[in-house]
Amino acid sequence: MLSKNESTNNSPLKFHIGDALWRNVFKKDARQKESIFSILRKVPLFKGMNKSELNEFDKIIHRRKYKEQETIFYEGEPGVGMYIVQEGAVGIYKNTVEDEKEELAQLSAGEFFGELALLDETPRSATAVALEDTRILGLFLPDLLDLIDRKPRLGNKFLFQLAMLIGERLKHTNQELQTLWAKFEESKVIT
Amino acid sequence: MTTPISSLTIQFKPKAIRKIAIWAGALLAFVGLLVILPPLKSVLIILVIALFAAMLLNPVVDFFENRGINRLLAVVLVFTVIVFLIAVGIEFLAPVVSHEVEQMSAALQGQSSDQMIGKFQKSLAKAIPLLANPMFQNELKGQLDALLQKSLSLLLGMLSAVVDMVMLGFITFFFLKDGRRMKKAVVSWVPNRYFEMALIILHKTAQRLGSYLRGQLLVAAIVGALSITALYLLGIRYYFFIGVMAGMANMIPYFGPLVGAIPAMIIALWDSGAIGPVAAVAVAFASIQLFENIFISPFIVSKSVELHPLTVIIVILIGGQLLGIFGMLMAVPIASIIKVTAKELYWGFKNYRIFT
Repeated sequence: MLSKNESTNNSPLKFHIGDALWRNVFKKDARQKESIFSILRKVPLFKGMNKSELNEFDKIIHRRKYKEQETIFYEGEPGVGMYIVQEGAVGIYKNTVEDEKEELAQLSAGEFFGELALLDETPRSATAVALEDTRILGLFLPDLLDLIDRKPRLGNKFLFQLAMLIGERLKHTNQELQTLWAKFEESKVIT
Repeated sequence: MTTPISSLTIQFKPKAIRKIAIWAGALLAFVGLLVILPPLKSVLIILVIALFAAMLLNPVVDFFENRGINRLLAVVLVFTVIVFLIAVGIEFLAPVVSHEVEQMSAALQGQSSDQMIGKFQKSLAKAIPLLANPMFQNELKGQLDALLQKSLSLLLGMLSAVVDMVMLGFITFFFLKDGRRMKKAVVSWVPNRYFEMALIILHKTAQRLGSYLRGQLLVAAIVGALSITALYLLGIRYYFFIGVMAGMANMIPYFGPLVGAIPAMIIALWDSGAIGPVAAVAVAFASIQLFENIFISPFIVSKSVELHPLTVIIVILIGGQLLGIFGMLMAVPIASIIKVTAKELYWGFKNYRIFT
């Protein structure tokens, strides 16, 4: 016969409950976090951040699910944050003068959009639509300002990366402008 | 000509049925809330105060977090300071206040309102013959007796509040520690279409209300300190207790300043039996009010939550009717919450084109 102690310790029921709880609550949470960290690491704005720093962002990041063809935001609406595609695909569209939709880009996991809304509250310049069932991570200005207030070092790190990204884009735009200008001058000479 | 029966049947689209179900559910939830809320009044009051306390203390916790202290530790630190301040307050100020309150109630019990009116009458009847009227005497006696009863019930209420204070401490602690996570959880329930709008509204409302409440508390502290100083200089008994009450009551617009001034004027009259000191107290309180309205409030209290004077009076009356003095105290902040939320909701619905 088993002693009272042995019978409780080896109870299959207790083992199963404990195991299920561990698997479903703690491990699931840890797995979810790890998957978010791996997505964030793909985004240049979180470049060089360690686990604890990414964890601080995880605390303020909102997880949203969108169905196929569901609009994430509309052009002209006030924007307060950026979105990162965790799973699925997102289409970015702009309304043309003829009231038609022009596709600007298709984004997949690890790509992001709407980051300029982190710098000012000007209306969204395009519409974003989920092209399939999509999971998205949202980082918003009020939460970012709060983070900068509480953790200025981490906030600065993020803002520096954001400034670098905008700078890169400015360089790219300048190059494109120069190319276009050169083409324009060329066409003037030909005609 | 007859219309075919099939064309008369109203066809409901699944979307329309869903919408009707949502509205019916919302209505049912609202009615349910109306039924559930009244018995939970005291719990709700504690929750609201805890929320306000967390709003007031949040910048302090953030300040410590900014200096590299872990949030939990920062909250513990703030709570330790508060408990220390309360302990110091009890050690040094409570004897003064309780002595003043004891003396005051003893004086109120020892000296009947008849005697007081006698004193008052002698000095005033000479100056204004109309005041010798017995009707006026009875009215004044009734008012004074009611005041005495109210002050006693207030003291009893203060004792039972100790238990609530402990609960309040616990809830405020968790609001401060996990407030961000709670806010995130609340926002996660909002449908995708309204999610970003809800986030902005929540942020703006919390920001405006936080600064409004902090401003109000600062103004109350300044008015309290000025009242204590003025009453001390005028040699009014129980100056500390009355000054503290005046500061706290100052948070109730229009009615509040009277709560501080009237007891001080009664005591001045009681002690001297002359009009001079009463006038001095009145002038002191009027000056403090003037100073507060011109130099303090405009720079501290946010204009964005300002309510129309008529709205203020109505909400204070409703608050008083529902929850007594506490209701009067909470009426303006709660009305401000409603105003700020409504304003932001309107902004959100307009800019996010929800109805178009």
